[in-house]
Amino acid sequence: MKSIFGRRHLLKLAGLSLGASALPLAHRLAANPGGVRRLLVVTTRHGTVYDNWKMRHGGPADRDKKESEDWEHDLGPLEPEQLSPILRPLYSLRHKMVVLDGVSMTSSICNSPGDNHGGGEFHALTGANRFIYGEDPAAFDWEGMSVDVRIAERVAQAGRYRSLHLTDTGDVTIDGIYSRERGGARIPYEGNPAAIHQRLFGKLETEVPGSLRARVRGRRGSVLDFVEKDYLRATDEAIARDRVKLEQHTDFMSRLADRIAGSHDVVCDTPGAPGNGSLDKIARQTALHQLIAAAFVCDLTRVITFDIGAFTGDQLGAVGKDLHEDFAHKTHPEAVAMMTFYGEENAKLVAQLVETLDSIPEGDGSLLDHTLVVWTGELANGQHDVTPLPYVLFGGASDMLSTGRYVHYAPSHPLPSGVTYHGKKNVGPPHNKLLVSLCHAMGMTDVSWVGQSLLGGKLDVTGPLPGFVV
Amino acid sequence: MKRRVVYRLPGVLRLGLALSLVAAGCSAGLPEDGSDPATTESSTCSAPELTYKPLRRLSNTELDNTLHALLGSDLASDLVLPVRTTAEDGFDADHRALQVGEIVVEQLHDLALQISLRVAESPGLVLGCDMQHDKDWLCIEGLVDDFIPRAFRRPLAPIQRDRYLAFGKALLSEEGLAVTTGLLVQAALQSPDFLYRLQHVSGDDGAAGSERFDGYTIASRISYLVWQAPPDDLLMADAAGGALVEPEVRAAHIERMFADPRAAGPARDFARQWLGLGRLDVATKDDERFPEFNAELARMMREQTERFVARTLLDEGGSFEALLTSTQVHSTEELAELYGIPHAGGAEWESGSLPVSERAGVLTQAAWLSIGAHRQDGSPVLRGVDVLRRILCIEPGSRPEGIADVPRRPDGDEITQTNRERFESRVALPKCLACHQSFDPIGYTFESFDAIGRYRTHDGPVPVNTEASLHLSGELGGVVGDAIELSHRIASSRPYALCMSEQLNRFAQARKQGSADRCRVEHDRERMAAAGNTYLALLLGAVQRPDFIRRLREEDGQ
Repeated sequence: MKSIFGRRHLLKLAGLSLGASALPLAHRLAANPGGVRRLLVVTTRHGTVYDNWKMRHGGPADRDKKESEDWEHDLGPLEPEQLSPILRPLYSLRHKMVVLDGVSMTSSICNSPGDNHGGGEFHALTGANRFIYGEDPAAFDWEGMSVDVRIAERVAQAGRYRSLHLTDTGDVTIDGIYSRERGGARIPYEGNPAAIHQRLFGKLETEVPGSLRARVRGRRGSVLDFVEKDYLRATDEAIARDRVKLEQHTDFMSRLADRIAGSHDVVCDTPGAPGNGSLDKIARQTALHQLIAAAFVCDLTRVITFDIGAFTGDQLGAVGKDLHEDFAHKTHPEAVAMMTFYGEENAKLVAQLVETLDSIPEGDGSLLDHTLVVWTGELANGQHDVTPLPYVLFGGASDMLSTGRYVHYAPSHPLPSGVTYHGKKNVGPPHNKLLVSLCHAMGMTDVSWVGQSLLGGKLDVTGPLPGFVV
Repeated sequence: MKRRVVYRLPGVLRLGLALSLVAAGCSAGLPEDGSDPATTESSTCSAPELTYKPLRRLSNTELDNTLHALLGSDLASDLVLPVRTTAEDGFDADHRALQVGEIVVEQLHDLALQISLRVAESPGLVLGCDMQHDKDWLCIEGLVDDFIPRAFRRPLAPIQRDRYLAFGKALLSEEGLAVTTGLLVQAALQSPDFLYRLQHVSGDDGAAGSERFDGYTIASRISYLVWQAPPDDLLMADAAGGALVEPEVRAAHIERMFADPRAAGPARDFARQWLGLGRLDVATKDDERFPEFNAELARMMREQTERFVARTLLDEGGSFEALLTSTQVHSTEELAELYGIPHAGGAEWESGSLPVSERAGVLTQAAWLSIGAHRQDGSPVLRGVDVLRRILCIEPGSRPEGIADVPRRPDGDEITQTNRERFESRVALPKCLACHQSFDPIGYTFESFDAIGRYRTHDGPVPVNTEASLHLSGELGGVVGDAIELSHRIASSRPYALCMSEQLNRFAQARKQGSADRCRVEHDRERMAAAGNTYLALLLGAVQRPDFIRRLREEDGQ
């Protein structure tokens, strides 16, 4: 199996130039006024090969660590070979990451998702009842809103994007996405680096000054201000349960007007545009990573969700094969080897992205130090299980995360009465608690639950997941 | 081990339908929404119920049709519309799918900007004045009094008219007529009055607990229901005159509009969403076994089924039964070859009959059969689940935990086992069979079709076996010989009629049906049954119900 990472990636990891196709980044963040906190959620598909992801270390001091108990392990002293094959590409980041082993997507277990991929995509960041949103439109509240958006609504800056949602699949898609608005509505993900660059950095005037077209463009902000009053009137006239739709539209329009008004005030060097031509996987990923970093550097948003996207069989050296159809859910040795390799390749991409953030100075540390990065996905493994979920969190060295550790949670949390999973009545802690912890790490300490109404109180989803938030 | 698989009947069906799956080991899970089915089921339908009518944005299809009606082809062609989104369960006109996100608002802004630039360069295309001789201000007044009301599908309220005139006056003094015209159009096209189907009420007319929509709201409800387009002049005239409060008047408009070619678009759109035909866009097949399959053939398959559904619903009495039994289709030369029927050659679509001994209705057409298949073979699981979900409105439960997919036949591998044998062997474990026996047998009846929908009598050297025992209760259960018999059995069944009522209602009402809709769906079903279960009967039933022109008063629960 041939890695998608060629020489160019090795140069990158060595801190050398990426060459002419790379985006020149602006590294001008000198300080971090006000303790800025950012969130970057990175998702990959098909879960992991747990036996090749988990770490039990095996040293003398670890012999007493039992699967049935909570425990943790210091990642700092480990040698590269002591990391599991799938996590090994993250070795250089071990001081700035925390691995969470044993968390359960209990909301999915209890919600009977039917389609585990689609169910997992819904549950991963909402922890909510997937089925309530078609039947009770009154549920347009926090329930159903994914935690990235919930955090974004709180930390977004005036005149900036509330949040960005990016993918390495297609131009703009609502398939395979994780982020949801109030009530569970899907948020489109953007996947074309050139188009994303144009949206973020390319909307400055391109018309001949004074021309008719320039005058029409130049008045866009005042038109939006004018139209906003139509929305305020329509909101007043709408019935209560519909108002949130118009309020949301008004908010986004207002942000757009602010961005148009302030488009010349971006205090950073805007990066060069990626090419319009087709890019291979690694080139596209690199371009997207650079855009993510640039969006943070320029403070265009405080929250980004990024789906690393699919691999073709060809990209993984299995020419003519389909990763999903031929390997992802199979258990034969060739499939296990391929999915392990797939996990390693994903880890390399995550490492590249996180290292990019860590290479940008900010205040007394790096951009990464003020960014909470969460690597998650829709499944635990290729057998469509939803526990134990493979989580790796990065960053936040300043005040968010307690890093450099591997934390194992025992499967000792009872499922609601009458529910079993693999014949067992207990699983790991519900991931709802992890979602609460993410809110806390981002300063939203008033959040005490995510997805609470899911089970009518039959499952305790309140409070944070202990062990990793400072 | 206690199994936790739920067979989920969507919305109203879960509450009111006696149909059930006969699947040992599949039990109900936790309550989903806190509702009390027992209480709801015991209620009666003595009085019509008012249900939630969600505010929603124009869908992409509606937006495109509305822009063409408003602007004409010169201005409305080749526009970049916002990304098309769909609800969790597939309908893209669902109000939840049409909730805006940040990028959608930007795309709507870009759309308005794009049009306004065209308008500024050719203001005469929207202005009704004589630009050579009339004063500029008269042109702007005309725009506000003619173009903008047409964009908003109603006359402007005086205060709104004053705002637009004042904005136009301010712009005119600084920017001149062309730019001002463009900017006013830009504003109108971003207004909620254009982008949303706002609900205006005419005041309390004495009916307890409800308020009646005004004539223009009713006109839009009718036109977007039948045409996915704004009201025409006849509807607007009746809206202004107040005639649309009469059910007979609304029914007359439905019958008039149903006969108009514009009714075909929604019928095709329904086919696309009901059957999930968009899945064909990403279907891939083994090149060696199916060298003829490519994106163009997939597009033709989709086009054929959309045409079939539209023609069946509109031109042939609109019988739901015919959707599953008719063999009359249009085919291209490529499709005709796939079906083994004659074609005169060339690029024309030709009408013809599929072999009645091989096929019956949409479930035996190449589009649906290709969707329900992998690269090499048809999938009894995908086909069986799709019949449950889309044709009978039964949501299969979850996949049991810890289950890997059974290996599919690799491309180019020699066939040593029939497709059915492979599927039967892989679900032989009791924990698999408990649920698979509910949908796999349905899928086995389609074993006479390969992965691109070609008819076959053998799978390799072995004759195909399409006989199956269906684990469904009532009139749908028991042994069935093949897909034709299955299609005919379903077509004449009550669960299918009820499901079609639900699917068309979801399509038309922009939301999934819930327990509150039980009486209305029951009302529709009875009316449609009396009229032969037709699309027209459903539309007539919908617009003639008193609740079509009413909504609950805010203080009464909304």
